[in-house]
Amino acid sequence: MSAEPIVRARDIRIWYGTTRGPVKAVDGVSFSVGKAEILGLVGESGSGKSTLGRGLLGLLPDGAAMDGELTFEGVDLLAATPKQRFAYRGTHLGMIFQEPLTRLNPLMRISEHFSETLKTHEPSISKAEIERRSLEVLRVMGIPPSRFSSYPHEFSGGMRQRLMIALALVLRPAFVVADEPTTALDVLVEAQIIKILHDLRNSFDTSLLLITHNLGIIAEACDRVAVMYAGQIVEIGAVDKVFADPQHPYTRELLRSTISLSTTALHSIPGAPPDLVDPPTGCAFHPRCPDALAICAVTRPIAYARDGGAPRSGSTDVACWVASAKSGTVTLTPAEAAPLPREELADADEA
Amino acid sequence: MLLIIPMMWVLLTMVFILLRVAPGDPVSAAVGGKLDPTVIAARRASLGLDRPLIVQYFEYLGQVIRLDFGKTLSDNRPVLDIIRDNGGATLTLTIGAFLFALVIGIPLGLIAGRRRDSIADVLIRLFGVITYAAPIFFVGLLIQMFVARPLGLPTSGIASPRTQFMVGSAPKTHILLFDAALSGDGNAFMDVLIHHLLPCLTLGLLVCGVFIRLVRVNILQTLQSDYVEAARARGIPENKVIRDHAFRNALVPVVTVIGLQAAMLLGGAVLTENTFNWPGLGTQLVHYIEALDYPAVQGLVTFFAAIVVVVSLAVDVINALIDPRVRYR
Amino acid sequence: MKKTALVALAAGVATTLALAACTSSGTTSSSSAATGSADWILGTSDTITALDPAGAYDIGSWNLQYSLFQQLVVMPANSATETPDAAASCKYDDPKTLTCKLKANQKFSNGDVMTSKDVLFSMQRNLKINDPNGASTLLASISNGKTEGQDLAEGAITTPDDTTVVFHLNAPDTTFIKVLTTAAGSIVDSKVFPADKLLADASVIGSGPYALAAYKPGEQAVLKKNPNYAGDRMGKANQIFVQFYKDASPLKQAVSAGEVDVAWRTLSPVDLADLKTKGQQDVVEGQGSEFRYWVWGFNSAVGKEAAVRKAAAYLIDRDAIATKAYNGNVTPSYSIVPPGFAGQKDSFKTVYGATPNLEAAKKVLADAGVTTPVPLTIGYTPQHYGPNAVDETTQLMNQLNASGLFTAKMTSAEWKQYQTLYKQNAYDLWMLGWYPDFLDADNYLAPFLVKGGFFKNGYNNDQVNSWVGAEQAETDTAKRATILGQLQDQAAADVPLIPSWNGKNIAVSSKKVAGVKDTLDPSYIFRMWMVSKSG
Repeated sequence: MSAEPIVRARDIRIWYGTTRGPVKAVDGVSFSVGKAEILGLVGESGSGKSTLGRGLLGLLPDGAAMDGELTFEGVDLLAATPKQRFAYRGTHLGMIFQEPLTRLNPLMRISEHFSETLKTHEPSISKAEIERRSLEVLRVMGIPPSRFSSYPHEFSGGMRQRLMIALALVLRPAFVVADEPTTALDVLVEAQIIKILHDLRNSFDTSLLLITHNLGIIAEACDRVAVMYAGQIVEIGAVDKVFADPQHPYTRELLRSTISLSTTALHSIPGAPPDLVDPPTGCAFHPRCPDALAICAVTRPIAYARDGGAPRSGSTDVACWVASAKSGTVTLTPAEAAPLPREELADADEA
Repeated sequence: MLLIIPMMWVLLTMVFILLRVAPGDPVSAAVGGKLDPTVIAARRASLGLDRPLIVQYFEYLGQVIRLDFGKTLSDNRPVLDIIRDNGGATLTLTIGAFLFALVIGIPLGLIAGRRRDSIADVLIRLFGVITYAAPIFFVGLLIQMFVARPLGLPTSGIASPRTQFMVGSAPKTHILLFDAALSGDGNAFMDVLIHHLLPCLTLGLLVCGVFIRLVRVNILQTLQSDYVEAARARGIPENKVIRDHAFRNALVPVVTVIGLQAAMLLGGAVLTENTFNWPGLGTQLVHYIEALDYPAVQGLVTFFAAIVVVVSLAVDVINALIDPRVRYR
Repeated sequence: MKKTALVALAAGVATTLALAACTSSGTTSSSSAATGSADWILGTSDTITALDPAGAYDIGSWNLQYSLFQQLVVMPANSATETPDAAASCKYDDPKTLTCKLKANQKFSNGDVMTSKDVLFSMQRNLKINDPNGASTLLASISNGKTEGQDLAEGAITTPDDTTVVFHLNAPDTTFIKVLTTAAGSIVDSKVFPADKLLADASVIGSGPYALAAYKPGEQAVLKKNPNYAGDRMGKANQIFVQFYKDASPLKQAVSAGEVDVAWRTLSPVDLADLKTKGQQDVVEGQGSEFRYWVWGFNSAVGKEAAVRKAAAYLIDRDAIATKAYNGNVTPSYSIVPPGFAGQKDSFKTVYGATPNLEAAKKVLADAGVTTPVPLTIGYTPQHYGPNAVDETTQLMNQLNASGLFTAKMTSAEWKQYQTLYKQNAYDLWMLGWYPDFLDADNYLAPFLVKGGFFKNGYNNDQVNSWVGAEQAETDTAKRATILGQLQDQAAADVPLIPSWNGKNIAVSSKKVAGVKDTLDPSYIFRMWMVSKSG
């Protein structure tokens, strides 16, 4: 891992305004991503991972507010003017979206998409140069030059995702957020795309934030993983370490719920993700946590390093009273450490 | 496309039935108040109006197939002559109105869509609803009184009498605007053009309400679309995003709607022509309906229907040209 | 990108076209010539059925025909006596024979010389063609009377030489000379007009003060002075543009904006009042002969009771109708025959008084033993006679009801249905209107009083029938006036119909125009040759 992270996020909060009150979609998230590193972001639907991804690019809709500290290559993005942020997008920050079928303008040829992107950031670029760079990145993605002038509807889903990736990368951004890039694709195509993403750091030196709910992909393609629940990162660390030894009860339950060829019985976490307008007090996971302590219902957990080291490193943390108490990082009074009586939870109401 | 034939047949039959069912007949409409009933009956018989309806119906269908529209009953003009002499005026009126509607409606729709729920948006939508709902003759009257008179614009007619006489007496294309241009007389051309302004504006206002709402809704939709978000993620500035992605894609459905508006435009043209004394097919149609002149009304309505069909076909073709997805299929 | 380019291209083409047209030199021909006044523009909402005299019976068509054709004799403005036009003289030898002598060397506008053959030809073709919209019924006195194969009666017209025409009428008819002054008596060029069908409007050739320079149906007719005209009604202006309007509203806009110089027929009372107030144009009034009246149905239980009819005649308040429903644009009528006709007398005023008389109405009903209030169905038609017809009917209904002697209700039907319904006894009392074909009292008596009239109301009085025949045969004016008086008195006594009002002949003209007032008279002939414009 290189010394200075490309992206450092500290205490990011993204809240939406609604008629019922503010939705705390992202509520105090800290992490960092190094150069040519792939960080996986995993969580259930509604955990806030997509919002976080968009927030990093500055693509939040009206009615959302973002606060905290977000540094990219040493520059504070949240303090930048909108014009500067526009300048960053495409050139330094890139995004790969979920549904490739609808992400391309049906009235524009692929070549027009590329020339638009390139011309926006380099107004004096020549037509020949546009073609050269576009074809090069398409070659990496496995798209033949003969399809350069085709329209989007002439491509399959998998090819369109590769086009998206090519478009996102044509300007060689240093940091790319991939928001569930394979969710809409079938398994074989998915494998191809993941391989492409994994190889990006070799081809282009790109750092990647890979957002997904699929733990298998994390295991395969990522260096580190961050687990999100109810707008907060509950655990973050190297993939092999976290998967081998999950310290947060949620991570543990998540891993147990994963279906593989050796699964004989289905396991699920009772209950449902919380309402983000009015989240539970203390630790957001406590109503569903099998190991909950009394303090969990009262005070929000503080993130400490997984291995008991420095607190809140952003590189490898866990935010859990149970885990911190077990590792000795934190001492709890007997009252705080008393197990929390669990209410009978109804079977998870589908959201 | 083959559906056109049964469509036209239904239309022709309906026109026939409606005309015959309406009380009265061409003869009493013309001279009913003056003549002895036996004389009227005799005249009706001489026109073949007392034969069984079925006989008259098949004769009528036969004539249509042979494209023989016959002559009018009330004033003995060949119906095709009516179409030839007056079609041009309706043509330039509707095209002009359409242009006005585009020029007014599309930008306003764009503004309303971009500034959703702002004062501008509310006012524009209100404007669109009012122009769509207000009766054309009333809007026309207001325009005549409050726009034409103060600005010194003509309140009626397609040209001043002198221009009408000079250009109209040697028609080449039978479209007065083009004939005036071809005649090389700049004053005459400007005269006809200026006479077009207010009627086209009046009719255009009717249709522009449709365009405003359509463009607005489409802009709102395209602004939400995924490729717009993806474009923003690539750093394309907001103005370019709106222009090249949201706006262009919002206009595609407008073309289809245009085809649907052709019928509304023709219907509105009839009222507009009445208000502005415009010598087009709409005026003729009203005149012959009042006279219950069967051949004339049948011929004109058939012609209108044919126009609508042609426009629909043209719209389909244009749609294929601008939307590559349609071509693919 | 492509779409905006297309739009821009179209706009560019349009602008360049406009600019090119602007910069090209253009000349509009000037209106002044060596003689004659400036051209002027007439606006009217009357429709034209045909310009061929054999093909029309309506005021709009006749209006143009009077300028395009000559008749043997014509009615000068505001006169009840005919004067020579194509004929130097026209006289009754006896009530069945009429001899006319043509002026020498008259030419049609195309140079053809007019002879007596043209006169015979014109009358004969009118009868033979028997067009459904035509006025051949006016020529009944020279017709062979057949419905199939109508033609001139054998020997009805003889032409002893090129300038003499003799009419041998079927029956004594002193009104026939008046028929010759109508447009049905127009003389057409036998070399141009077909004998058995109508000639296309744009091709008509006549010998009148003006010739047709251009004609677009429903839009415009352009009249140019006829250089070959040598009669007494020489045109003043060189060129006249007649613009046709579908509706009163754009016509009113046009005349008040100065886009037409004269507007004649038909502006609503409200429009006229507005123009009068603004005062920028002249609202010119002349005496008219339009007649509005109420017909009784003798086949209904109510209508056949004479006392009921007389009571209503006592109660009608004509002044109220004229002011409230028509803004004073009409004059109350007290006779079947309008004022200004030879032999006219206000018989209804004599019998029933000029103002409503409630006591007399009560008395006549009581004397006849009629129980009151009498239920009455009044019929009218909402559009054919103008939008104020409903106001007029409401007025009458209220007047009858206010007396307590009637419970009247009003019901309407569209014109086409109305014509059938009133003949089927749908109403006890119904509204009708009338324009004269020619200016003779007979034109208000024969069509109304004989055998139920053209409206078939069931009235039949043998004495009346024989009087009508007598006045048609009477050549002595004084004796004829007596018979006409008797007829009007009898009509007031029997009340087959109640006269309501006479319309005025109204036009709006720009202040630069002269001669309009002179032509507004009961004949409704708009003598365009009398009108001129200055500047």
